[in-house]
Amino acid sequence: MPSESLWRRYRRFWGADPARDVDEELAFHIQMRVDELRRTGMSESEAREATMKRFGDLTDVREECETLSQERVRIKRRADQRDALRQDLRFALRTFAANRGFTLIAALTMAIGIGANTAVFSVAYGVLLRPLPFRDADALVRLWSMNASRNLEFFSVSPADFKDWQRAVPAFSGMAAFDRQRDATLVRPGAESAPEAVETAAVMPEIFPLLGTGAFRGRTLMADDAQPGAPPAVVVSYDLWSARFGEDAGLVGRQLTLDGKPVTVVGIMPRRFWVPGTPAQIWTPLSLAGASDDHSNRYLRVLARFAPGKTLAQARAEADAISARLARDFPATNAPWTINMMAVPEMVVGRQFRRAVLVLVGVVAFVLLIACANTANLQLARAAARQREIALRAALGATRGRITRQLLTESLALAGIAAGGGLLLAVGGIKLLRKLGETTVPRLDEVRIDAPALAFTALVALGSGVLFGLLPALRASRSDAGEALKEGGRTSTGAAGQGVRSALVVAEVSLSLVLLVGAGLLMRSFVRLQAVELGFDARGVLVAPLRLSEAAYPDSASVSRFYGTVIDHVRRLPGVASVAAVNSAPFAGVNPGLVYTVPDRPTPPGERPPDADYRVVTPGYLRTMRIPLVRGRDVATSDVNVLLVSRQFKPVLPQNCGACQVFGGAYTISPCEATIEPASSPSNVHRSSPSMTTQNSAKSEWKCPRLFGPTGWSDPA
Amino acid sequence: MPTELPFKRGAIELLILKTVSWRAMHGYAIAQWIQDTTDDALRVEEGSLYPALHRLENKGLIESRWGTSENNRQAKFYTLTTEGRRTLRAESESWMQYAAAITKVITATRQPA
Repeated sequence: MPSESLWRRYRRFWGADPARDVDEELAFHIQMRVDELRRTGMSESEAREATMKRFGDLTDVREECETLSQERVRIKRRADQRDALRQDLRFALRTFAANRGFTLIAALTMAIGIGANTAVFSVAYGVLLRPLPFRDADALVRLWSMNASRNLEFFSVSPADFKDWQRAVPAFSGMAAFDRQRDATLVRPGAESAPEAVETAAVMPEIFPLLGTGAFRGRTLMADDAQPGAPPAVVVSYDLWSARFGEDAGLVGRQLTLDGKPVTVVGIMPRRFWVPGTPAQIWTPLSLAGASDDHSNRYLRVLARFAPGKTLAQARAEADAISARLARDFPATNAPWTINMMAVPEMVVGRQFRRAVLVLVGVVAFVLLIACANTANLQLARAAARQREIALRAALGATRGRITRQLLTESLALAGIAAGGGLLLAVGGIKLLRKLGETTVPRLDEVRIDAPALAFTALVALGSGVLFGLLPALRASRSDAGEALKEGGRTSTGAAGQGVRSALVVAEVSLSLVLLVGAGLLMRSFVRLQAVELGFDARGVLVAPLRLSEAAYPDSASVSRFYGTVIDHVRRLPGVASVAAVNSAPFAGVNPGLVYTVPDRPTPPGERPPDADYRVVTPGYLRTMRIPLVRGRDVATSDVNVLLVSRQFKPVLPQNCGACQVFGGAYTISPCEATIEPASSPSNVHRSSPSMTTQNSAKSEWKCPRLFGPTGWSDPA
Repeated sequence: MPTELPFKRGAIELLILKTVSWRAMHGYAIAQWIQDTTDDALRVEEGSLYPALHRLENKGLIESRWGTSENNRQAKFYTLTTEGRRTLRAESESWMQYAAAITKVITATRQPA
């Protein structure tokens, strides 16, 4: 082929110029044609005219050719970049293979940083960011009765109050109530022999349109289902449907036995659905038609939805107005009570937990920064050793940009490898968290490595690759080729390099120090928490939750008989030192309370009688839990109206109660000394216990005095 | 007067591939060679020749280089790539089958039953 002229090669040194090339190509053609025609004897102008005529519309041709050329230049540039990237990547991998130690340490360091960030991000995303499964969840609020004077912020609501609230707060477009979840026995059709424990919650059918969630199969509960005399209908959760019924499509319309009564499944709710405030697998219709009109009978939970454009402040103002009116109309039951409200998203996660997650995000970001600083330092050290190689590249014509790019590609490849390792760590971490945090992390089932988490990992890997790669790359590419080659075998980066590396080390040490201080504080709190005196000794104690159906054990006597038999049998098992029953084990579930009065100390008018945490126990409970009996004796099966009280109960007892044997620790008070008597009968307490249990934070458990007393067994609700 | 047969866009690309399979050629020489070879039966339009050349180059079937022409001018020379040679072989094959089929029909002597 004829050789390319020097001047053209020179001109093309600055890149292709498609428009000019096309012009010259066409001009050459025209000139050749004109020359040919001239040879046949035409004049110059005739020849040119004939040529142009034959050519047709020159502008069109030129434009089409130019467009095509430009496209070609683009294709070529892309291909070049791809080639360069592939070349850089191949080179990076070869370098990694040659420096296995460096690669392993750097990738591991980064993997820990990236893995921790991915795991924490998926928690933060699942818990804080993933939308709740309700329509416009931000407009949902939970309402409580509040009694500031008694420090009850989140108390249940009485049906009578609820009915009045419903009409009086126009800022809400809807309001619905539901009952606390309770244990129930489910018998599946065709599996009569295997009853199962499930949690059910009675909800007003209005809760479904309020939450804005339709049924996954069948229908939700309707207003008609709550009418008296309506055929008993239930809807079940997706989880129950899939775990207990194998996702059987025929479940809708089928009859189940719930606590011995037949009910019909009318719908299955979608995955992830729940009613905020009651974790349950089965929802039954709740009707307030026959509910008590006593304003103090507080046991309902209430959700509301804002009317469009209404705010929490408006709702608060309206709620204050109605509680003021109720306090005026019913001073005995409503005088100090107001309405408390909290947005559902805030309630689900909780302020404390949100803050904890954000702190955790900060902590792992620090870990990542430390990992980046570490890796950058390693890279810098290695760059010093590679100075000759880089200088040689520069001497052979590699531009600064090209060298930077190559080193950056290496860093990104390293970050990519680390991201792979980090992802594995994150998956393991989340598995661990699932095991450990089951009871402490809200929405834990929504935490998983999914598309947002993967995107986050990629972003973190990219960012950290640039972070730990850019500085060493820039430094390396800036080095003077001639100097480096002349210096020969010397492998130091010189004073400037030392400065950068020192700065990195300083940053690293200070970040580590912050983390160490944080970890130390956390550890101290943990150790202290471990050392808190519980008042009982949980070592070697097994707890077996039992639940008796009301249909099979209708009265106290049959319940007592059942537990008596169970305790007798368990006591005879080899290895069992002692056995007892309690209606609610410490830190397990509800915290029943009891209002009481002291006979010779009447409650002043306008004040509420005092209340105390309250447990029903069988003889031997103190021994089983190793609760020291300071004075007196344990309860006995033959006892009637006997109480054991705790040390903290002392101050409320009358000073001059000669017959009262007031000791430290637990007390017995015999019936003749009946200093303390329940304000309502114990069985009442149990029946209405949902209203007593909303204040079951650990705080109240420690503040309130505790009473123990055998009253014969009634069903612990 | 040469007969000016109109021909399809696909055909001119096939002709170009064949032409540059001999040696590197510039556009003018390609047009001339086709015209000479067909005894002036096919006259290549410049308006379709150059866009066709650029299209073939974009497809990677031919590649171009600037060089000096026989009369010592700067011209863009085109050569066939490996991919182009493969395409030329395949396309020639199917063109010949197509032409033979057409020929069979238009030279048929037996009238339809």
